[in-house]
Amino acid sequence: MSPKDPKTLKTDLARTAGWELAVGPPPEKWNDWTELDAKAWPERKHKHYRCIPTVCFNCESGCGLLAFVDKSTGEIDKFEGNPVHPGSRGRTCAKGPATINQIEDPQRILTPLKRVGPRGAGQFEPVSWEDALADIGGRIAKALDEDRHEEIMYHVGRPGEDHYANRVLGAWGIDGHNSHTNVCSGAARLGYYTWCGADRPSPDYANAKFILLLSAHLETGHYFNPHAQRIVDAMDGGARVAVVDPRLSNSASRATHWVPTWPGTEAAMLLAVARELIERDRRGETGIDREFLRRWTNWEATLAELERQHPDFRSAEAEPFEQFLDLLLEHYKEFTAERAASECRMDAGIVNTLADEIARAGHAFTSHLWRNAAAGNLGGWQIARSLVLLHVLTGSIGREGGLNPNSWDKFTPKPSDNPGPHDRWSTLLWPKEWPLAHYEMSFLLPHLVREQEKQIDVYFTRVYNPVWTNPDGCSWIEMLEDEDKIGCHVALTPTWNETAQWADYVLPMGHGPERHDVMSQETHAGKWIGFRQPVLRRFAELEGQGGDVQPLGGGALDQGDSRAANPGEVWEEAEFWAELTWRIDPDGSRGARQFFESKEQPGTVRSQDEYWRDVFENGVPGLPEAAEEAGLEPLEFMRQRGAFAVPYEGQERYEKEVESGGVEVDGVRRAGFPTPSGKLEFFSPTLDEWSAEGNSLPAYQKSHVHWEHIDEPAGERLLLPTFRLPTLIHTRSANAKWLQEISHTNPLWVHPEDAELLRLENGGLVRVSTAIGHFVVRAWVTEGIHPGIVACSHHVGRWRLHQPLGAIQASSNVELHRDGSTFMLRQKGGAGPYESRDPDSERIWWKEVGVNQNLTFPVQPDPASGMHCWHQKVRVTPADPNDRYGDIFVDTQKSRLEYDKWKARTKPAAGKLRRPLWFKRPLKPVEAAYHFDR
Amino acid sequence: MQLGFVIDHSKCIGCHACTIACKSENDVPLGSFRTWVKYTETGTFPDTNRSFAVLRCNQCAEPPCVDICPTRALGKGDNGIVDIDPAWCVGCKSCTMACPYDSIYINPDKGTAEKCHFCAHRVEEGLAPACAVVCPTEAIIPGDFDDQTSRVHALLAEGDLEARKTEAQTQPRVYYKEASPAGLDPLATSPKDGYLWANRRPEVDPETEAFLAELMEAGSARTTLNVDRAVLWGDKVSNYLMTKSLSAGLVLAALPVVWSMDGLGALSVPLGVSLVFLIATTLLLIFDLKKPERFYMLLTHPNWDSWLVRGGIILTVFGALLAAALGADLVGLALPAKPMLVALGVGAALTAGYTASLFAQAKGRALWLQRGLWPTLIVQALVAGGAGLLLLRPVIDALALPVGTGAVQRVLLIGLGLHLIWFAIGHTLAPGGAQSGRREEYDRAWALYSRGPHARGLRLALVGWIVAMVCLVLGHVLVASGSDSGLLVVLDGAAAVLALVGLYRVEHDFVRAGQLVPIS
Repeated sequence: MSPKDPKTLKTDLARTAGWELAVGPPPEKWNDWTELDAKAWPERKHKHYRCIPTVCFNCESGCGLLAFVDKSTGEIDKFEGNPVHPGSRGRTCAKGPATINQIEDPQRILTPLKRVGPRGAGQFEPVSWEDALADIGGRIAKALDEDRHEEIMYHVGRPGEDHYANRVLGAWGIDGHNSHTNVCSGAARLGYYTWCGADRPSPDYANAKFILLLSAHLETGHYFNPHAQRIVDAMDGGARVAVVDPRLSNSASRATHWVPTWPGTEAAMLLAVARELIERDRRGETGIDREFLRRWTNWEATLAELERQHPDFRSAEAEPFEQFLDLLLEHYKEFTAERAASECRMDAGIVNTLADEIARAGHAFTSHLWRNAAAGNLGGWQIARSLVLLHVLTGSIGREGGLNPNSWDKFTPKPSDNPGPHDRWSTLLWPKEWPLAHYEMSFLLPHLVREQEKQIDVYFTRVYNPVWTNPDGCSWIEMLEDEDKIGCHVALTPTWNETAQWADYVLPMGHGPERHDVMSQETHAGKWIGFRQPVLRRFAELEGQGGDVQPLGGGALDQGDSRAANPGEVWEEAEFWAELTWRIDPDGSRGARQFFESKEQPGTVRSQDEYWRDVFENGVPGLPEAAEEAGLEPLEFMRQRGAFAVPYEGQERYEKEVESGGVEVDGVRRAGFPTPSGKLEFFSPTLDEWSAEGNSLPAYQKSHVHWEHIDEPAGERLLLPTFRLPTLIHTRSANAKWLQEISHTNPLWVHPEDAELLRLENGGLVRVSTAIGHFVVRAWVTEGIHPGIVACSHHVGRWRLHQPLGAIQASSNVELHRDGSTFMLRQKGGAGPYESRDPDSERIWWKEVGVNQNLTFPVQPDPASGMHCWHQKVRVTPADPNDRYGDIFVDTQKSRLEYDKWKARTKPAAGKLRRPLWFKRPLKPVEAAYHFDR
Repeated sequence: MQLGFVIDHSKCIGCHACTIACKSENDVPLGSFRTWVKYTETGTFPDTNRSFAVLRCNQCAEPPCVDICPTRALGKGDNGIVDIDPAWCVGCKSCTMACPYDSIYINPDKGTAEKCHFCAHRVEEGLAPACAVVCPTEAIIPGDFDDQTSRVHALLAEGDLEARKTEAQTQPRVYYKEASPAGLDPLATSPKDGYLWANRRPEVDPETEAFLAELMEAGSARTTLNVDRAVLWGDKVSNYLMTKSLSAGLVLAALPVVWSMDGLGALSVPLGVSLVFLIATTLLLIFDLKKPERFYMLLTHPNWDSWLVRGGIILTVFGALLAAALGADLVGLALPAKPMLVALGVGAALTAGYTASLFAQAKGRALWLQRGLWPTLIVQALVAGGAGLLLLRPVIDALALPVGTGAVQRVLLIGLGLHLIWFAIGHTLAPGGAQSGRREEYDRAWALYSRGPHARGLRLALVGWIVAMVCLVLGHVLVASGSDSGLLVVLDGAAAVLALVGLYRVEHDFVRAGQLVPIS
């Protein structure tokens, strides 16, 4: 509830009343907040806290946290939600308060470590930060000197920040940003982007009347907690919800309609709903918003394309727009409710039900698709295209209760000085076969390095664990252990993970509340930034402990930075990057140092205070004014509040009249959409030019795991491996004991009919065979899954080769047998009690901690979006007598063959450019870099 | 003032934030929970549904945990919160047996009981409980049900709220809106098919779960996530029952035999042995406490309503009587025989039977609420005592004490017979009175006890009793015929051993089975 935002204040107070006001402490009391000590109770022992806001770093929602620092001990006691955070509104999911487990994790890495012995052998010894910086910085400097820019790569998972790392890479002048996006959301992004020039949806759930989720936003995902709050608010007000998911998710169980479809057929259902709406319109009934469609889509170009595709069709209408509608109906006529039902293997009534719901909601119809079906299937991006079509037809784009482009609801502040675009093009990241990829073809790296015979001299991994997370992890192991391919692997991680086992340096970076970042996410029709800050450092400043924290200057390393307050020698990346840049460019001659040099004290490293002061004073509209009103400097305002509601420009922004740019609609120049046509691109010229025939209009493409391709009588099934658990978050939550206690296994969901056909017993061992290997897991027979489909969560199944190098509460200790290109992992033991400073570690009662199924998946890059198509065609059999729980077998030779098969489906960039210029990409280079012939 | 919650399951998304916020706020150890989320599933594809139930202490208006707590560590505050003062908790675990909702656990580090106390430490400062503060969807609504302006009062007044196991007459003050019946009623669902993303606890007995599931209707709901519970009253408690039966029974069984005699001298051996078993009983009780060093608190800070305290007094008085009788005998002091016998008899009967009242206070366990448990326990004592006397016969003979064997055989025979009748009619002894609504829960528990997967031992033991009865009849014939042969020793010895082994089984299984039917 920032003073600038009385609306938020009012809304929040109205949610509860009187003493029942179940919200955290108000900001004006954060400096001295008193509670009774729960541990001493019923003795009344008062505890005095400083409440310091920061941001959660578990999932990507960026929820505000409030750290309660005990003034008497200087330690963090607990985390609650930050009540003035506009996205999370003081509330968190289970992972928020579990942050304290991560801070106190007895197994966390507290000192920089350097490999001794062969890579991957699990032997490390402590190293000083100075030595690590000198070695790594020296390598990078040498590579830059020798014009080997491509050999420096920073590979990040979900970064939890919006610009700092890119600033570093930009300063170094390299095309070295690699992400995880193509194992996550790349497919949906392509679908959204080609429609509207924004690659994410931002549903206005709170005001919606009908919510269509191809997602599980009541339990996981972007942005679970903030979205769940608003979905439930809407439901409380009468909104209805449909959840499309072959698996009974928690969200599906709360929905008005659970729509279990065969994965990958969703576009058929959505197009059938679209056809139904258009048909209703042609019958003169309410169905579509004709004005919106006429004004805001490139319908003329679409009409031309439709005419090209249907040369024999003659509309009886005279008006071109009416002809367009007729042609549209003709184009989608095959998508009847019956066809959708048989294609999706669902009830035929669903299409009409959804059409009714959508028609009833009108503009207040919203939806979400982020990973789910889009991430699982060949052509998954067309599911997003088809979903947006429903919004386009109903005019529910950017309207109250509808679907906003994410760019409206997210704000990325920048400092006043920024490196310009670089002029390089890394084909390891952006190979020509996938010119439309959103984003880098990250998960193909081992194949691309092999195929292009490249080397990466310095490879950073950050919140990224490709060996465990990515498909075909064994190919990653092969690449990582090969010192000719990876010169130096630096794992920036606060905890052990599978990939870090093959690191040369393991450098402990701070957890969420131990570093600086700014986050902003499109959680609702509004805009905010959240400020992550190292809590204990802030506490030390406020308490005057150790005086002001002075920046390190000119490479003089002492303990004056966040390491002074963080546990052990844990650092924060921002300061690490600044110091590393200093090593790479000690005299500033490369032009990199300037971006990390203090302007106040030239010749010294720019402190985090100076950096963020600049960002908040110059980069956030409305913030200086709000701060002034509160009598504070902008930086201090953000340090005190942790979040700021950026003034919101409202919805229907495309209608805004503009002087120049934009697009002319009915004779008036308006802002429009950031697409080449300025409108919503029903027909996408970009897709027409850059991808296969038939992709230019929203269409249904049969997935690689379409039921036609699955020989069910022969024991084949579709494996759905993409679902998350509400309490865990990928590779990040293994170090939270409370979360692990609640969920730690990933049994294979099997429908009872399938269990009978496949001779599987509930709880018995099952062997699931993929194209490149197999894994052994327990069966969980359930009515909560579509017959023909088996499902296994990817959120568990952590493992460690070397006894202490991995979270004992969350991972199995495995032995790895290699023979040529084959890998066999067998569990020696699961989780269990161990001795540590935390008595709870001896109370770990669970043993089986799941199976890392992703290791057995080949890479399956979608030819258009580049997204890994996660779903697998598998053979499901009772386990062999010699199989044991958790066994994993993989042959990387077969992975290479699978890669070749999928690559053969692509349409490589064949013109002058490597990629459409208007397409988004991280660290966008100068235009010249896009040209092949440069 | 009556604080409590309304948990709105029209809004709950099953995210477990409340569970974790509670763990963080209250430092709840791994393996224990003050609040947790149970998942249940019903229906067949595609009409399948999963429901969540947020389970925790009900801050009952009539809290059985408070009644049973021997040291007044548990109490209900003016604000309606049921809270535990760990300074007085002796770790007897009786509150965990009294709670019908599985809401109390023993902190493994501290050895004291803990539970949801509505974040009493926060409420005192005007703050809502941590679970309510964290809940993303505001499904947890704390409030004062006595305050007519409160939201919880308004929600309750709107109607359609439910509470857990109201038939336990605890008057729960956690109400549920739109909760699934299977989530609130542990009898409506079975966890036997495992959890969707967690191991079952090692303590879980799959055979028991399968047996209990068989008792349910086909197509019942399935529990797909919950907190599994361990049996907290274990061998020490069943051993305590056994030693207590022996202690009381040796006196009870001897009484009819020595009634007609003058003086107590004839009883010295059984009384002495009784005292030994009484001391053993007391030691078992003490060492079953998680904080045995606090045993004295039962006397210094007693809850006179608790049958643990009353039982303690009974054991003490009975022990004093035994000591007095033995002491008098030792120093040759002649106490009035008949009054002393009456006193000893009453003491022994109370000693044998009081545990029935303790069980009746353990309102969490329907099996133990069985009607007629007082006489049953006295009969058990007779069995133990009769068998004990038969085994003591060589000693008694050696001391030439005039204890008639035939009379002892008759006592044991009657005891065994009565107990077999009890076993045969046990299914009709469902709780009565205020707890009569717990018939179904009782029936499941009785079924588990009498014919569950682990009842084979019990049934064998009962067959052993029949054999014992045959032996006793034969022995009695021998006694009646005046034959005091070696065969009689064998027959009596066999009967006594079979009786005791069977009794151990009867008592041990009763304690264990009572705790095996899930109550949450």
